[in-house]
Amino acid sequence: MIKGKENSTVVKKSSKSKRVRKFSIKKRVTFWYVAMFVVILLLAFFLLISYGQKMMETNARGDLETIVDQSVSDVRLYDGDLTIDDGLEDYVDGVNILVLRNNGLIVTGLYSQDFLEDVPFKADEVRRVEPPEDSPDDTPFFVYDRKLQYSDDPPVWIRGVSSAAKDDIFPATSNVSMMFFMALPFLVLVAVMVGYYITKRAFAPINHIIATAENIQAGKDLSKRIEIEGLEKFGKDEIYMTAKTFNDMLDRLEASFEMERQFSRDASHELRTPIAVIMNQSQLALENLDDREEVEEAFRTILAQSERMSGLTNELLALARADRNMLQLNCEAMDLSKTVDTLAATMDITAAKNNVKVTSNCQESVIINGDAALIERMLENIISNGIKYNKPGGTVELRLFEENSIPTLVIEDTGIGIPDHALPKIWDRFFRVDDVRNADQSGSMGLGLSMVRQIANAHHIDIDVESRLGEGTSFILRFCKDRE
Amino acid sequence: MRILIVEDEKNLNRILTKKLTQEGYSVDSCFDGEEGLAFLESTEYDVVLLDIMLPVMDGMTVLKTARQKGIHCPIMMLTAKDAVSDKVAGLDHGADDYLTKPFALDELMARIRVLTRKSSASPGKTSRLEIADLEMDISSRTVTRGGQEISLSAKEFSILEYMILNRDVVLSREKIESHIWNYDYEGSSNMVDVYIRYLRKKIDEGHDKKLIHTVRGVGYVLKED
Repeated sequence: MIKGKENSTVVKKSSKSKRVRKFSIKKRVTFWYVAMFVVILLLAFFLLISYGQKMMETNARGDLETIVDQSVSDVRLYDGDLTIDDGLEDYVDGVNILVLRNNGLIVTGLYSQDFLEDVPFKADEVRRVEPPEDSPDDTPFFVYDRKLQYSDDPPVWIRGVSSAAKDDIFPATSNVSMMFFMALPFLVLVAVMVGYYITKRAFAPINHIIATAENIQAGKDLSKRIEIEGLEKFGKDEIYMTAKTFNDMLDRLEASFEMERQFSRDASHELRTPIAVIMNQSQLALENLDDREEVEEAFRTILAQSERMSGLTNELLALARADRNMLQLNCEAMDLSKTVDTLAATMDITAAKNNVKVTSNCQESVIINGDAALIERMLENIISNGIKYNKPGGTVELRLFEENSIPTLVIEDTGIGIPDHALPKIWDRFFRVDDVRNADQSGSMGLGLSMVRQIANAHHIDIDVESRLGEGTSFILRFCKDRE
Repeated sequence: MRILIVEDEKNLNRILTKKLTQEGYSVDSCFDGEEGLAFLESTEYDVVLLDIMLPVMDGMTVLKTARQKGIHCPIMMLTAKDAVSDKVAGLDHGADDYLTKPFALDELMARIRVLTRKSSASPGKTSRLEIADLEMDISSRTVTRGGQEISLSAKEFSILEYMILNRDVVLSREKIESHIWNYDYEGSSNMVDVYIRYLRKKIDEGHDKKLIHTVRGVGYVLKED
């Protein structure tokens, strides 16, 4: 499941994570999902029931109306004569049909309950009537009256009466309710099981992530990654993205840890040589204390090596600080032309030892914004490289000018040049083209250009390097016109 | 015994050369791999101290090339690289030992002695070598015969050491010379004879059993009769 070493360790579940798992997201999601499901189900049930009831009541009323209206055609009132067709039925589809005189006398038909006799006439309106309290039965009824009238004669009423009781309107209700409430627990159980299973599948990778992270923490093995190939077929959803992002983060972490490790390996390697010299030199001197010359030479060597180590550790510290972006920039407007001219003159003197000349040719008063000390340091490192890797009688030329109002500084040397394959690596720590780490020849420790890059980045300066093997190298610095 | 130092760190090179010379070894030194290989090809050394990080040609390449060319002298790698993989690579490519810097000079000396006695014609297990009643302690640089301590000069000691390590083997003058003196030597060619005479005086005189023998037309040999 988890990629990594062949002898992968058993995933140790700490008690803390076990506690956390009691409130696991799967259980939470399932719980809420099931709760919502039950609520919706119940809501739907009740809505259905009440709507059904409403509908059925409307139907019942409508049916009552229809049947009474139909019956009206079977009754005729003319000039005092009331004629009732044989076809008029007393009871049709649950409706009692009555024909009554205006005083309440029943002509045809029957009431099913006594209290109905007391219900007053009202034409063309379906009414719902409740029995009074002392009535033996509590069934409510719908009553619908139609009025028949001939001129001024007293009217004749046709009345339809049907039961308004729930059980009569929709007899299945109680059964349906019972069935529903019996089925409910099972439905809930199914919902829980299905829901839990689905969320478990969906969230399974999270467990992998947790386990991988725990493993890394425990074993300090940054090479482990979460397996995401299997997840892809479920679509690139959030879980997949989480796992992938986690993996990417681990990639970066691993790379940066590797860089750190490499750096400290390089640094300690660089320090080993001067330490070895000091150690062996002291051992030798101690065996030859009588030899004054040997002792003196020993101390000179020890001093030189100590200074070398001191310089190295300073460089390393500065680099480490720059790494953590702790490079404190004291920015101010500075006259780059003056700086370059002065620096060139100073370094020309020391370059004479190598039989190299340093010259400068600057446009006047090119002002930039920057940390003067760091800018000087940066230029010093580049020039110093130009001197070191130069040929006897060679030159290092600095030219400062403004091109399209961008201050541009070119530092060109007539040195041994840098081969193409090494060009991208010159900025790496401890890198030297011939990759021989012994610094005593030139005093360089390979950190100079790293520092240059850090300072340039901090000031948003563009640096390009061009080189021709055997002929020379040019560093072209383009300063940012406006710094925020 | 003749030693070659191939080390590009000038200070270290100087220090090692001095120490080895003081210990009675004859030392040639150079600062890059190419030069080192050239030295190796032209001289039979008793021990070679070879740094790994060298300019022009790195130490590993020198080692591999030398072994391919059939140069079998004992080679000790010296380097600041201490990773196991580096050590394994060095040893597998034919180095006889591997010392990481920084090291103590005394340890270096002891390891050199191991290499020299291992590669001798009669490999011994300690620094104490014996023949008849002659006893030699290489590490303390003492020689006794019949219990009596004998005082030898550095060169005499070296020659005796070389001969006792190659006991019963006839050594020509050229061989002795090339193993005792370094390239700086411009003395006469019968220096060996002169020193053998000194040695005989100190070791064989007064004893019935002679140890140093001349083989006419060939050279000298140290052996019990």
